[in-house]
Amino acid sequence: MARTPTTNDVFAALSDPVRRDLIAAIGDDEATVSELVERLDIAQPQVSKHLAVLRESGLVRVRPEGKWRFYSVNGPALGPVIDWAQKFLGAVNERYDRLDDLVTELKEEGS
Amino acid sequence: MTRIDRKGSAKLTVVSDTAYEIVREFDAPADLIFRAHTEPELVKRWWGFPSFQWLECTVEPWAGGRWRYSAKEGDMEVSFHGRFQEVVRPGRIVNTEIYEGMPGVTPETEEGGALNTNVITERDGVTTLHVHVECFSPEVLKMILDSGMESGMQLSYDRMEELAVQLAA
Repeated sequence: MARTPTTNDVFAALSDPVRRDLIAAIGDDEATVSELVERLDIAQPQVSKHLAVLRESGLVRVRPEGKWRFYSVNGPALGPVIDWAQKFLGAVNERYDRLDDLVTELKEEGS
Repeated sequence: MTRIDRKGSAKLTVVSDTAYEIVREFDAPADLIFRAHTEPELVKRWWGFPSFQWLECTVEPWAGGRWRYSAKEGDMEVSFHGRFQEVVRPGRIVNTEIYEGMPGVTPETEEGGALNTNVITERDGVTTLHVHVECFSPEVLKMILDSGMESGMQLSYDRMEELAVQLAA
């Protein structure tokens, strides 16, 4: 089933590798479209299209100044992604911590 | 002997739209890690949750052999199965993994899911387990990550504590 990106679906917004690259390229600074075109070596219409999706999801903010538009990452919008990643990592760790306990016991038993 | 506390030290990296990798070190010989993956009695002691009521734990650790884990967690039945593609003791286990909770999936389904490559290497008494999980679609990756999140929340910390006490005894 295809998912329709909604304004608050940051996971859908981040499902595209170009959009993840854009977030990384903007980083903790501000950037214009032309700067991003240069940094990522991607055509301007592509950059604009993906930025529009990122803006809709709330991941990216825009600040107009004169004839320029400066894009920046809205850090708190990444919250659900970070929470989810930490929970998954927690579950993975719990599994391998139990394996660790098991092999330690086996080693002590000498089996 | 002093034991390094490796609790919570698994490293997870999402390497593409369809794959992620886990790296974890153990102070144990490679062969023990291999056995913990291939002997049902040992699998049951770490895989899933301590509160699991095991219904089936089948492991045929050879190329072409099948495996199936089925357990009850409360009212929920959780089952996975797959087939081994490569098994080299103690260093390498390659197997498919299909979650039976997906629509249309039965215990006989062979398509879909993920391909897991477990590489086990021992050096100076420390064994590194490197797991590469290649999903057949981005949707499967998302589902695996989402279910991991749910299961993480379901884990009872009391049981974890119990395990730790047992260990210290």
